[in-house]
Amino acid sequence: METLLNNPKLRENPFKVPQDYFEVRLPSELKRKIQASVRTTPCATASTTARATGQKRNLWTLVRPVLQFAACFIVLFGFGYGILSLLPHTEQNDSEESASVYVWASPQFIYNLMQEPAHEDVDVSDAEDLLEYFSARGMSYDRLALADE
Amino acid sequence: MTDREIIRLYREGNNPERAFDHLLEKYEKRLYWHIRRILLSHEDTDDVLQNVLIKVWNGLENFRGEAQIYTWLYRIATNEALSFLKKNKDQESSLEDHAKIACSLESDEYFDGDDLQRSLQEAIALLPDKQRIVFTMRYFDRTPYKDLAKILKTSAGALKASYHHAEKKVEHYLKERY
Repeated sequence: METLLNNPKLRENPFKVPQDYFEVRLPSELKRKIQASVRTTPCATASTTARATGQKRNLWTLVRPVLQFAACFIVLFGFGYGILSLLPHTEQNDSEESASVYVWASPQFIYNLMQEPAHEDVDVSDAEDLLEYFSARGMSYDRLALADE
Repeated sequence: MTDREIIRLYREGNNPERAFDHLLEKYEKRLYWHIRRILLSHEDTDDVLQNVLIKVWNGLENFRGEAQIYTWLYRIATNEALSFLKKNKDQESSLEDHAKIACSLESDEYFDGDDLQRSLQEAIALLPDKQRIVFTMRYFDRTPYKDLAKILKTSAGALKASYHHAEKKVEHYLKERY
């Protein structure tokens, strides 16, 4: 079997080419095609266009994620604002809230808070008042003591 | 003129067309026969060769000289031939393929071989694309494995295995007929 593949005739070239193919046909056809390709994309114009396209692409590549992030932020902000605007709340609530915020944030309140002693001695009269208060609500001293334990 | 001189003439000379002509003079026939052995038909080879040479002309400016120009040219030619084969491969069975090849070779006015040569070409045409390229480059051109490895970007060991498989298939095909 190997003798068949070792046959020197098999290594010979059985193909032919048309007459004048390498001398005339191929060079002329190639020249025509190259000139056509040069005509359609002149070097300078092509490189300038390519460079401009590259710059546009680069700029777009840089700007696109920023724009996407901004768009996401706007959508989320709008969504949140829409939800908040749908929640029921009155002007009175608003004024109470703002008043309490004002009191808590006022310098006078903070100053008073700092002036208060950390541990005040419990006044006995106050303790009696407390016992009275709890007993009035049905809680005896014993139950309070048990709860303490 | 050596490859290096051709490239220098292209880069430094005022006439790149002249350098390209030198390149064509040196390589066009080798590239033609390389493609022809893969595609068989002259018309297909002519189309593919023209595409290859236009790509070479456009790519010469960016050729860095890291590879040998011979390797670069053969790589372009091989890839173009493979693309052509893929593009034209339809869903026909191997039997239909075989009939088509045999018929095309018989009617090909640019095929001048005898029956044994025709059978060999049929056997080669039935090989998978890569085996076909390895077999033709090894069997007809005796291309060294190290050059084949550079052109096909595959290890020499894998190419030897590929050639061995192809050789077995071709032998089997011829044995059935002779």
